Amino acid sequence: MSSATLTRDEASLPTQVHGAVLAGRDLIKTYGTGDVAVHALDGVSLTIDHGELVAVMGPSGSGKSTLMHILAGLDRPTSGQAWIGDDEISTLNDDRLTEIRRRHVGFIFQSFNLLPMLSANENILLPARIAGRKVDTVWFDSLVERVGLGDRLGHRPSELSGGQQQRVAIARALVGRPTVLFADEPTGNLDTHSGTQVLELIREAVERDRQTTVMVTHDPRAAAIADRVLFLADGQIVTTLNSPSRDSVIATLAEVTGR
Amino acid sequence: MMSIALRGLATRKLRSAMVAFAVVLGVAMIAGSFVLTDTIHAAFSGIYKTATEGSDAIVSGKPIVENSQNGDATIPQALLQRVRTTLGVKTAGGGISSDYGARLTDHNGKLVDTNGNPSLALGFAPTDAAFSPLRLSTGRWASGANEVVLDVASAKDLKYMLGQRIRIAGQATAGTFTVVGTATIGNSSSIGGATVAAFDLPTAQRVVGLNGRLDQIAVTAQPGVSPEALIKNIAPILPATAQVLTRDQEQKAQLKDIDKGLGFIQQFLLAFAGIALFVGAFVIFNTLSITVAQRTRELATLRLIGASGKQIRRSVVAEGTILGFVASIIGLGAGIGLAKGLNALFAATGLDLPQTSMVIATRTVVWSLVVGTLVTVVASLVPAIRATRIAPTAAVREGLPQPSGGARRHTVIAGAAAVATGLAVSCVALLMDGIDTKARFLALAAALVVMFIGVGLVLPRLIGPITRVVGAPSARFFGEAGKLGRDNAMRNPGRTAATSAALMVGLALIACVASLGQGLRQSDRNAIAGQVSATHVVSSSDGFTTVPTEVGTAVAAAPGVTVASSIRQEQAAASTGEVTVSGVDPATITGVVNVNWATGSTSTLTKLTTGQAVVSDTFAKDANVTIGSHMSVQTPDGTAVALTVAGVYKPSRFDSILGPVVISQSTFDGSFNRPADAITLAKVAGSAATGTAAITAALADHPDAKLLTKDAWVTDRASGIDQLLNLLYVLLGLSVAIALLGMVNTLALSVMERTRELGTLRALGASRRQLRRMVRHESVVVALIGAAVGLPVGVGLAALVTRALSDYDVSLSLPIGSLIAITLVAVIAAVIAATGPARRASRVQVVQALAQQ
Repeated sequence: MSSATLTRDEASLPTQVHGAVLAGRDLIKTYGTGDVAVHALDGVSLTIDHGELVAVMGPSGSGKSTLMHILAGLDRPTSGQAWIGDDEISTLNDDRLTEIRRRHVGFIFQSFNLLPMLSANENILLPARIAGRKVDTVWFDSLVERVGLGDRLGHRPSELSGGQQQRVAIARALVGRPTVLFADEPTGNLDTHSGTQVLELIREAVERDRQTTVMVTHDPRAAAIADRVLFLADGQIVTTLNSPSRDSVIATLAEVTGR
Repeated sequence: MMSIALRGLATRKLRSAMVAFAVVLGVAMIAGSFVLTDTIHAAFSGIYKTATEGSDAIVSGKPIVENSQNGDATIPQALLQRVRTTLGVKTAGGGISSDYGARLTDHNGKLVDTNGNPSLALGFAPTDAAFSPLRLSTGRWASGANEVVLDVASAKDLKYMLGQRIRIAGQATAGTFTVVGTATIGNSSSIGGATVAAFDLPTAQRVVGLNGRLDQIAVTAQPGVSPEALIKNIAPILPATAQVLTRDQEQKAQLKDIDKGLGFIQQFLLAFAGIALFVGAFVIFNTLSITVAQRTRELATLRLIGASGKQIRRSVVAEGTILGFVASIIGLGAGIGLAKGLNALFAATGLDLPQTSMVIATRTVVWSLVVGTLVTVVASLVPAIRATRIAPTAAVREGLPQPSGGARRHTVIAGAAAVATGLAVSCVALLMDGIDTKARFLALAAALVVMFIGVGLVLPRLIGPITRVVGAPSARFFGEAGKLGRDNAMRNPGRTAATSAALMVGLALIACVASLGQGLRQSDRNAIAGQVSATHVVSSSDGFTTVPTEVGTAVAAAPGVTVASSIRQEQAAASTGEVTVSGVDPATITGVVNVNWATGSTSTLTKLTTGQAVVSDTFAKDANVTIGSHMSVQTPDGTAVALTVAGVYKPSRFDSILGPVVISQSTFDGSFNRPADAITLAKVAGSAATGTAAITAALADHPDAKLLTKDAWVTDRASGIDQLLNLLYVLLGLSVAIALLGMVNTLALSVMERTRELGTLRALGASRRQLRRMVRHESVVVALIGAAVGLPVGVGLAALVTRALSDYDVSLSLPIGSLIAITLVAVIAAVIAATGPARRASRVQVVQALAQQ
């Protein structure tokens, strides 16, 4: 196998974990010291492949948010390593992490986190503007069409419904073609209908653009669109579910929570 | 509820401290003003007390012409003998005490600059040393024609040791004296910035030009004779121009003069304290408003669990009251320190004031605490009322309520009405005739307060458009961070308006002062340049006192000088009040001074004879005289001078070289006791430099004279206003500093409430530097809004004042350079103000920020 046959993303993978665009090894995150030390992550290793949609589930306090923050370079592990592409992000300084976020990471938040003084359009373009990058206007237009916001681009977040705001946030996350899309409870603040729309958009990005995605969620319906579900408890991956369904997720979750 | 208010203050320590600081500065200013003036009063009181210690009564000339440089009338020396033989008198000693009588020089022969403070000449017979205000410190009293005693401070500053020789310029050519002693004034080593030279009596009389005359006679009573009985005995033998006062009366009379000056200084400083507190009120109002908005959920929860609106209001007002009171106490303490600083400030601008230990009067404490607390409470009323409007349901609603889109309609209307009212009252106060000065100032101050508040009310509506203009550079040239900074400035117009309004007040007043200063300077330039056709001008070194007439003679004799004409000057009492009388040389004056005639011509001046006078048109009108009229003026010594009006001229309304009454030098020298020249104007043949060299050489014996070319003299005279301007800038700078504190406050609070947003920006790829830049630009935009509103308001105000002064030929001149400088300083200050909040914004931890709801 020659390197010429590899895709760009595969070529930039860390040698330690071939085939993955996102990886963590022996991740430990401890808050506090001594008797009061809390192990939010207690030795997590994982790899996520290009184009894979991975859901992370687990009860509150299981460490799923911490894991996502570390993988996205928002937080540093107490020990262990994490990679996005070729870059070992667990050791980078703030400036380098900022660059990583600009080049490789897209974010969808539970509370949308749009900037209130900017229009939908400006919110979508914000990451590119911050990074001082040109926007691929064709890609921008197709994204806007995909999320169905053509007529609302001039509106401020306060003039949009929750579902619309989250769709703006999805466009904002995808416009830079991130290496990895992180979604933190993307349906947590939405009604069923809007939630479904949002999940469809995320799945569509995976199907059509091979968008590597990590989604932290409580919602079995959301987890069911994933290729793989990681279940965390007490800071460790306790089980993995491939090609999940809503029912299998609920069953596994009950099992994990009940232990 | 009280405990909630206290708890709230405790948990918001930094915020509370910042609010308090806005009050502290204003209160410190109040306390400082009182402490400073009280202390100076006490110091002078002490000096006068010790100065007159040895005597029971004082005989002195009456203050016939108040503003005479030579002081009160003098008394004949022969009177001393008659006083000594008066019933009830035990001893009596005569003395000389002349405010500008003896100017000291340093070891290089250069005149000592006293910054306008007196250079006292004292003289008394060594046998009368008990009556001297001086207490010998080292050496002995001066005796004979060539000895002098200096005050301890001057001897030390100028490094004169006993036995060394010093040149002293008096009423005639400077003489050289041997320092034989040093003395304290009472117990003080100096009286502010004044210098003291003490001679024996005949020498002092020679130095100050008062042969055979005295300034005062100190008297002691025989045992059993009361001071009152003593002055009753002395009064009948005195000439009409002299008076006798008991020691107490004399002290009171002298203190009255001092207090008049101190009263002015006190009111002047208090005015700036008022401005500082006014700006502080804006800051307090804004900070408490933001705090209330951010506590919406907390306050709503209180409502939900049963607190009434009234209780909420009370808790917010209580917070303000406690804060105001504590801040006022701190301010009072700071004011005592500030009094020292203010004294240094006055000293730096040439107004040295004597000091003793700080005097803290009850009045100082009461005023500081009451005013400081009251201002805080008043500023907290509106936020308190807003707090009561918070619905209990806000406790269970998601997130913070979106800020309102700006001021409500009726607020804007009220604001516009306030601006209009303020403007109208300012116009009336400034332009209407026949209002007394105090009422004018009070009305103007009230009008400005109303106007500034009005602008503050209207401003939220204007924030959008103004920000788009002044924020354009930030948005265009500083990337997304600059643009976000500008947008942040616009997102809560009420907050931005209140923050920039506080800055606006200070900037407006500074711009007003700068414009007026520029206008006055320019007007003065125009006014005096046109009057003088000389190439060189010789004046006293300080520019406002006089020099001996020998200076004019020396200049005229200098090689290359074609015309030299000096102008004598002294104040006199006329039927219209005090006037400046100028004594000119008819033969030469028209060669160097241009006169604008109403009735008369150049020959009226050249043919001016003894007893004739040329008067200004305003004087002619006020005194109701015309050509041929007979009139009389009284010299400071009480001599009546009979004059016939020979001509009427139109002086420059702004700054005239000649006084309202112009007489020939023969008339002047025959009537005034100590004739002296204000300026000597000279024309030289050949180059200005050669002329300067020649005249400088001719003035070798006159260290008190200052030679300037005409252009330099015009600039020098016009810049006389600069010291005052600088003092005003410093004092107004205080209110700008308070406004900047308000900016720091607002930014810090905004950053705090936008934590989650900042986290989001970081997650979206914003660097720390970009966040810092964003906050900085928000700050800069707010400052620019303050400048954009404040500078036009200030210039407009200056235009109005100029209009009021149009009778004096004052014109408005836009100080473009100063306005740009003010804006730049505001921007730089804004960047500095943003430092802390920006750092805080950039240090937001992404994960925690995102977790915060």
